[in-house]
Amino acid sequence: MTDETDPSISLRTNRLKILSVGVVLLWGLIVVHLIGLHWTESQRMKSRVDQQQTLVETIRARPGDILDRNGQLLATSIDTESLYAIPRRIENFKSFAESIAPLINRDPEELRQQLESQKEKGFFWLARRIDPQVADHIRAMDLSKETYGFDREFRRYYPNQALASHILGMRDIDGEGRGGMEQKYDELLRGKDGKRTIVRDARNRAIHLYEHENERVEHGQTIHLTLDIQIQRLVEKQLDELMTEWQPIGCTAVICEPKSGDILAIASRPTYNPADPTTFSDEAWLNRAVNWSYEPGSTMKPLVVAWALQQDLVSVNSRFHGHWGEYRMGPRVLHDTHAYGEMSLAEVLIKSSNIGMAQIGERMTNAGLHQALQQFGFGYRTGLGLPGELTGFVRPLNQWNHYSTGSIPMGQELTVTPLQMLMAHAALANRGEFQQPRLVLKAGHSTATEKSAQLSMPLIDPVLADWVIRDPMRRVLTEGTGQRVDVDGLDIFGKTGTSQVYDPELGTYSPTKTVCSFICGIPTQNPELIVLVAVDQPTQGTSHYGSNVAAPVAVKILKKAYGLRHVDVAKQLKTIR
Amino acid sequence: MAMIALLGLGTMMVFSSTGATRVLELRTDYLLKHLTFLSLAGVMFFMVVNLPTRLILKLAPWLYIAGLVLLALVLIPGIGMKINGARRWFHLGPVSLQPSEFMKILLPLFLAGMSRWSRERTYTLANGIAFIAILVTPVMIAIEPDLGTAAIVFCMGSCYLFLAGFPLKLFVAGFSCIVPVLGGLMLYRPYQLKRVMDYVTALGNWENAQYQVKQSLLSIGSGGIWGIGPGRGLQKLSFLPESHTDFVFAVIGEELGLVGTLATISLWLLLFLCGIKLVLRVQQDRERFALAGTLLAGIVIQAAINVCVVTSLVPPKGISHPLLSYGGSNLLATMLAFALIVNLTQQQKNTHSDNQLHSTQFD
Repeated sequence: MTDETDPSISLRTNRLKILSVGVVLLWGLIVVHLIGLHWTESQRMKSRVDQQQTLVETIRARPGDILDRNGQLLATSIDTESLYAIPRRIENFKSFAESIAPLINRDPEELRQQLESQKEKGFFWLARRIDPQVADHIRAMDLSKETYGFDREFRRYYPNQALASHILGMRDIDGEGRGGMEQKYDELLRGKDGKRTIVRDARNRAIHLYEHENERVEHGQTIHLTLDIQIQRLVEKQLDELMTEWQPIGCTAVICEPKSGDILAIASRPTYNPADPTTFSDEAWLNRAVNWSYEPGSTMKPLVVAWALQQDLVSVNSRFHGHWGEYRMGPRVLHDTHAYGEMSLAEVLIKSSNIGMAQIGERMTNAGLHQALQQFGFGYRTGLGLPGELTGFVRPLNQWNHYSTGSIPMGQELTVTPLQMLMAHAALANRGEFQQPRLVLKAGHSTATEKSAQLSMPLIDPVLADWVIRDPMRRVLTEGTGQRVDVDGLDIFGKTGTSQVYDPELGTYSPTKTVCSFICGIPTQNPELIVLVAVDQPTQGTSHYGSNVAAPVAVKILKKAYGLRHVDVAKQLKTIR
Repeated sequence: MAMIALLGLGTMMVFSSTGATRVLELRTDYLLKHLTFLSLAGVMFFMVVNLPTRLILKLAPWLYIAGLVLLALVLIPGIGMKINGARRWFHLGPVSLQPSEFMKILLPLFLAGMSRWSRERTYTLANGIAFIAILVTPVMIAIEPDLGTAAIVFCMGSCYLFLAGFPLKLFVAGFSCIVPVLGGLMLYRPYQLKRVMDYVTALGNWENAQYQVKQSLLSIGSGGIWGIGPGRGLQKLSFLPESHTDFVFAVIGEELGLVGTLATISLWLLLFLCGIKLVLRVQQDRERFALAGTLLAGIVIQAAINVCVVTSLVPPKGISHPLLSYGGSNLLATMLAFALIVNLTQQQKNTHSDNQLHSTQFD
């Protein structure tokens, strides 16, 4: 062979070898590049790809219902749609705004400006939780489907409008609980939004769902309240009438079962409608049953007497002297509205004698009085669970002086919330056993947790407690300060309270401003219901006393509520009328 | 031989796994079309392998002229089909043909034919015609426009001359003429310039890369070492454009991972080295040697450049991956090239003495 010697052949072969080396080097470069790319960027690229390929969709949790003790709806959630725009995709803002604005009650020009200012954005809420008809109308319009969309959202609906609004609270635009049970049980009611991962293509079309990667949606749970919607309704109606008649700053009423501590109704005025949250004042937010405190006045007296009896400092046979309306305690002179002579213990309460109470106070001493207040729960939250509950104000014992000995027994020098006062009296009505109030029968799936957490504690000997209820408190309505209230022959007990309001400008108690309250229960044997009505500074009419402002309303509430539970009583009430 | 067939089959497997699930629902029309072309290519492969080499070389000039005519025809609106702004395709019933793909083979073939022809006739005339062919063919393809293929055709022509033993100084002279022309062309077509600029900015950080290149890199990068499984790639679902044609390598990267891409490269290297071994067997015959070498190098380099594009090593160019990319013309042309390589190197035994006689006489 001449191959090796032929120069052109070796030239060709060499050139092919050069070419081969070049090709191999090129591939080598690629291999190095690929490995390098994998080494340094793989993680970052992987996450980027996941990000561009998947879409996480939220599945909204349905907020749970709130029911009354009989399972009637107080708050529920309705499946609605919310409308959003995708400003980025809108070509003609003017025509878009003009076609949509009238349907969502917006000004077209204003809407156009808003949209234009967001034109880089991919999301803009146009209207939240709109009516289904409006949604259908918008769908039927000649608008590019690329430029808007609907998101499923739940609208909170209160079937009874403003009824029990202070207890229920409301949900704001973002579904967060504000006030009342909505706030207290926000987490439980709200549930947990679920998530669904969708694999999508570049045109945002869903390709398939990653079922296993989904976060399951947990819908909100149901809450059963102790409220009775019928009683709540009648209580609110009575308060409305009271507001028109006396025009006070505000008023409140609470009714409960002394045995169980179950709150059947809480109402406060002024009030608000949760469906229209923008139009009411701060004052309307206030739930006066728990977010307000006042000097209780004479409604404190039966409690002090009961504690004195329990401590054996007085007996049912004790006698007191009224000193004809003027009683000197050191430098202080106490007065009664009438000049009384000798009185029994019962008569001190029936006539609501300050002088008689002061003498009991002297027997108890400050320490005993302070203990009494603490035992009945004053100065502590009842733990009902409504947001912003006040403790009331009881000064520490070391700040008390000889004034306190006369003031505390007649319900001054301390403030209480209406609920605290009601529960203290409920303890008397419950044969001396203090029962923590309860507003929730069952929250969510948990059973009996609320019940077991409820405190009860014997305070007063049952015989003594029964005596206070059946003797002096019953007689308040037959011969005492409440005798003018029409009880329709029912076995009602009660106690009036009128307290002057401290006027910071005068530096002393105001001669005209009063808080009128009345507590009453039925029947005297094993009381079933007890109600408190407190009225803050009535302005209309004359003689602003608990006996004529609060008592008639409280008794009316009591009678009607009792009638709802006892058909025979209801019949009896009708025939009387 | 067996290895080449193995590679062909293996790569087809890759293709079918990617091509078939390209769209949302399982689509088989792409696969069927591809298989049609594949069988056609197979038949053609064996036909060409068994043709006498002499006949091929004799026919070469006429084939080339026919190719030129087709190239000219494709430019005429109404005959040529326009896809994505470029007029490259012929429509023949259900299938479309891309003449420029075949020019990659026909030009070196023509050069070889001319070289063989020149042994009997005027040497300079043959050389002249060869030079003109090397310049004219790419320009005609560039008009379509298809600069990528034009460049490859040009390179293959040059490669043939290189392997055929042309003096190096002629290459130097040739390239010094061409560089300014290319520069001018680039300025003339701003989008080409922009591609290059995009490429430069993306060199440092893939985040800045042009969309297609970025998606391509993301596909490869997200595959990891083992890939996410054949047919399970998600990038090809509209994120990565041209995933079944020019960017099929990125899909391999996503679905089969680093292992898949390196295996593919290994197959190419194996194929290349086996081919070189075959080519070296005919080193005595200039035309056979240069033509087989050119075709082999052409295919392998095209594959390499495609991978470079996909991995952002060079600016984006519309260059398909031989054997892997979807596209009938590409497949036919590649198989034809392989057939020719086999033909040129296999038949050597039968006609050995005859060829050697010629080569010693004229080289």
